[in-house]
Amino acid sequence: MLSIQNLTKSFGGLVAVDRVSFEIRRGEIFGFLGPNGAGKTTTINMICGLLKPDAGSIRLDGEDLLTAGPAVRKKLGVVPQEVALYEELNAVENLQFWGGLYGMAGSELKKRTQDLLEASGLSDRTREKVKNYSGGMKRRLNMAAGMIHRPKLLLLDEPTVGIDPQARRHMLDLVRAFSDQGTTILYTTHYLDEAELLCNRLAIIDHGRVLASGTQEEIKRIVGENRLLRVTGHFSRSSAERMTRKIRQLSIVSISENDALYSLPIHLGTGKFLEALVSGGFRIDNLGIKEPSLDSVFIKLTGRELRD
Amino acid sequence: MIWKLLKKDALLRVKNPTGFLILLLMPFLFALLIGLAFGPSGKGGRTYQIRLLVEDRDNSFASQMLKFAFGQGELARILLLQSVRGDTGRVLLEQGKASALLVIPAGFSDSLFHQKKSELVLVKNPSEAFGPKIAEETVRLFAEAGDRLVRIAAEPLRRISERVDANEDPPEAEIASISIQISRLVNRISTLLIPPRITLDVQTVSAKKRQNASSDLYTANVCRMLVMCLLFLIDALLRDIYEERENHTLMRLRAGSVGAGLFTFSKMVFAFLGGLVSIAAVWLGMAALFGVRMDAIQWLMLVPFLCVLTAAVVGIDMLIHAFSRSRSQAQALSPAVIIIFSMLGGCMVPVETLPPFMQKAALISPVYWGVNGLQRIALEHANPVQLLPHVLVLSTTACILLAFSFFMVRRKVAQ
Repeated sequence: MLSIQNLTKSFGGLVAVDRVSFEIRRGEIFGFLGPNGAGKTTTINMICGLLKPDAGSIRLDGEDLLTAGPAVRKKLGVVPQEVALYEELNAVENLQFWGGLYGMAGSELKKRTQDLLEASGLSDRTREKVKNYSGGMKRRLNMAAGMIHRPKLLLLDEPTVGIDPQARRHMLDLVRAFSDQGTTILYTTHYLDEAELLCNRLAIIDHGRVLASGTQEEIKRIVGENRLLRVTGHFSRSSAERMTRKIRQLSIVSISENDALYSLPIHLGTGKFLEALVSGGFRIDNLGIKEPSLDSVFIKLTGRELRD
Repeated sequence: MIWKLLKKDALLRVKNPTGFLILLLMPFLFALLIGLAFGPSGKGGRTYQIRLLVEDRDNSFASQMLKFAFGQGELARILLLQSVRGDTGRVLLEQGKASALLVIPAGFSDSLFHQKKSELVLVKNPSEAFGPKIAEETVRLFAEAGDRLVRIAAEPLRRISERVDANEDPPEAEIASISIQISRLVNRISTLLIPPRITLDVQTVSAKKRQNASSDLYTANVCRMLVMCLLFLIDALLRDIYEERENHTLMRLRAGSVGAGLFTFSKMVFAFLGGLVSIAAVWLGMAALFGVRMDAIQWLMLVPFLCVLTAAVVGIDMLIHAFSRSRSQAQALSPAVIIIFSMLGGCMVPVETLPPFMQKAALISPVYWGVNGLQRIALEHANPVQLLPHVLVLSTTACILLAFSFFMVRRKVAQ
């Protein structure tokens, strides 16, 4: 449905998005996973036409979005990272305004507004000014406003940032409900659990580049049936490297002064690894063990955790 | 599409009208304050008074006559005479408690009636602008008039003066006789010496006309304040551009189908319509309150005039926002620019009271043409031909400013 090829955007000397390519299939929730500043929002802004890419193409249902007219753009719905609503208006007035901009009117708009307010759990406070809503309620209405015109593809830019766990659960339910109605969703986040919970397929982005993409299983296969072991303490780089000679299937993911990240097949267990550490004269401050997950994939790909 | 944007902006104003209403009431409030401070009161008026101190070192009939003359008729309402002695006059003057001190020198009477040169001294208070000037002109006028009178009737006046100075009451018959002599003398020579070049037509205004004069003052002030408040009001409406950016609704609008050009245009149109409705409402209020009478042609003329005036004001305010990068910059820049334009355009004080170079500079300010045009419509019943220069200046200014600022603001919105 959405095909992005070699998308590139620079701001001065900083390459924010570097030859990013991925495809989103109809009806799926596609996760765009990466830390803050990875280039997720820049990519979204280029898709919805707020930024002009330096290079690359964006095609929606085969049509070039960069040159497409309003009819094609109407297939897109955008939910910005920040709440983008008129706080002096109530929920109904907000939804009707945003719907009206997409050409909706009359009973169709009224019905759609009611449906969305019910789906968002806001139907009991429709006449109240948005400024009096809680953060979670504003977020839900924000998402409903992006869905008002029944877009084919909904772009969600970190919709759960800064809200409490209960409101977050509500939001994830709402995303699933929209997906169940047949809406294709591009979901950007830096929360791994959200990506694991929601997304059929995903792409991992860091420093403007897509590091991996595919289904969760395909991506997890990058780390294989391995667990990641992070050792921090007082040891030399050479002694950390010597560990791989002691255990043949142990490999180094990243290494720096006093910090080493190893990958070890699960079937080998960790006993032998710990013995090797002790015999190698390591003074260990911390030892972390990570089972295969998106997080371990991200660590393997970037050498750091997603929240870093 | 644009109607939906305008409707939304209007709805936002209706939902939060306080600030807008305060701006609407500002012209009346200012006009009322100015009227109370400088205008006539409802009962017919408190007149501006000049306190003139008189130090009479001669204390003669002639000096008494001079002081008496200052206290006659209408002059008595303007000049508040206070006799002083010794240094009291100068002390009071230095304390700023009087506009001027008139010193009548000793021997004034003697010099006057014996055709010698006599000199009155007027000491002015430098801290006052108008009072000392009026006092100076008044004293100068009386000095000249007194001089003429003494030249015409020195002998009879000297005789009366001598009797009065000797504490002798001149018999009424003698006064009458001298009066007749003066009158005959004056009649005989007046046509030769002081031919009547200027005649004075004294009229008494009716209560109705006096009330109209008061209303005219308020109307003139409302016209001035109206343009200044329009500048502030439209500035407030245009600040929605920053509001939309800060609330991220601009991003959502642009991600939808609202381009930067359409967005900017809608804000300009809304500011224009908002300003036009406001200025029209204030005008109607002013007309009702102060009894502004206008013919049908003037009402017809008023509509295009208000349109071009509002468009020019939108242009000025848009220009401010074209050069402001953020709301804080606009908050600092707007009042400064608006006050300068208002001052130069005659919103705060009449342009005629400004220095000559500022009066010339006012001619290039659209605010001046706006204020002047409104006052001409309201007070002088100007016809369309008289207003043509105003309309031309305002419409040309509006076109240039709006076109330039539209492209500048659109570029900012697109970034």
